Amino acid sequence: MTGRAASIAPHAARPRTRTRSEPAESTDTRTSRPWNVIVWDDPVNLMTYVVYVFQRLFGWDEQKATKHMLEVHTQGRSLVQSVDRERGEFFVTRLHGYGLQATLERADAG
Amino acid sequence: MARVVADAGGARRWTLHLPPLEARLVAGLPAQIERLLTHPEENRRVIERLFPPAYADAAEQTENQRLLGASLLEARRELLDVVRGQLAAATADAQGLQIALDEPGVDAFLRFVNDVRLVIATDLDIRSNLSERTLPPGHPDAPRHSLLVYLGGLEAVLLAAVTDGAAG
Repeated sequence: MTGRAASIAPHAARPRTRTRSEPAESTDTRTSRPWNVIVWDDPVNLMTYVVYVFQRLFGWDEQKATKHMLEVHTQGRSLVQSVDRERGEFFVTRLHGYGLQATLERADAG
Repeated sequence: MARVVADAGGARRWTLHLPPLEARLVAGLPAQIERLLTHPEENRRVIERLFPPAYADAAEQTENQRLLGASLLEARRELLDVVRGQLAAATADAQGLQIALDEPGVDAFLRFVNDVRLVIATDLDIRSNLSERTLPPGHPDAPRHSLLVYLGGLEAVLLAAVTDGAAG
């Protein structure tokens, strides 16, 4: 069953330039980790497929990918990345491209 | 039953062997997704499953959709083109179809098969664990449910091949 984040705090207006290529990783620790990428449970995607996607997108080993897949399966969601907004949107778009349900929310959204 | 054979020599390349009946089934799938992408307004629920919201906040999601919607649709069309190319380049004989796949190719094929599964499952309104769902014989949804189960098996075979011996 697929859940959804309850709310996301509003944010200040910012320039929105979009690209399908991977953004450079930010080195500013103050601003680089305010957004969480959440993957939600889904009744259709195979467990092995989710592990495969995590390994492919995030470069994780099988153990870490399986741990997050099981979080999704048993808890309904898993926080898979805490990154800057642009990078978070990139990851969410890629996850959607693989058919996974993923959302982006502010890390301090509670 | 479909099987995947790793090419000799250690390169990460595979050949997907589809028996004739399965080959005909798979060959018809791109057209079904194409129709869906060409007429998204005709099945909003399925389209929303293929393109789920990135944000829970409605305003954020509207802005995200405005900025990215067209390119996301285009990316799905590009995926269809890749799979059509793979099917067109496949070798056909009395044994069925042999589809040569390199690593990006098997990734694209997997995403495509998974997309089809999501479309069928959404259409069938599957909301709980698929493996727990059973249909009585003669149920009108039985053919599509069988296709969904078959594609899950195909996906599993591909995943087993591509992850076998892969670096962690």
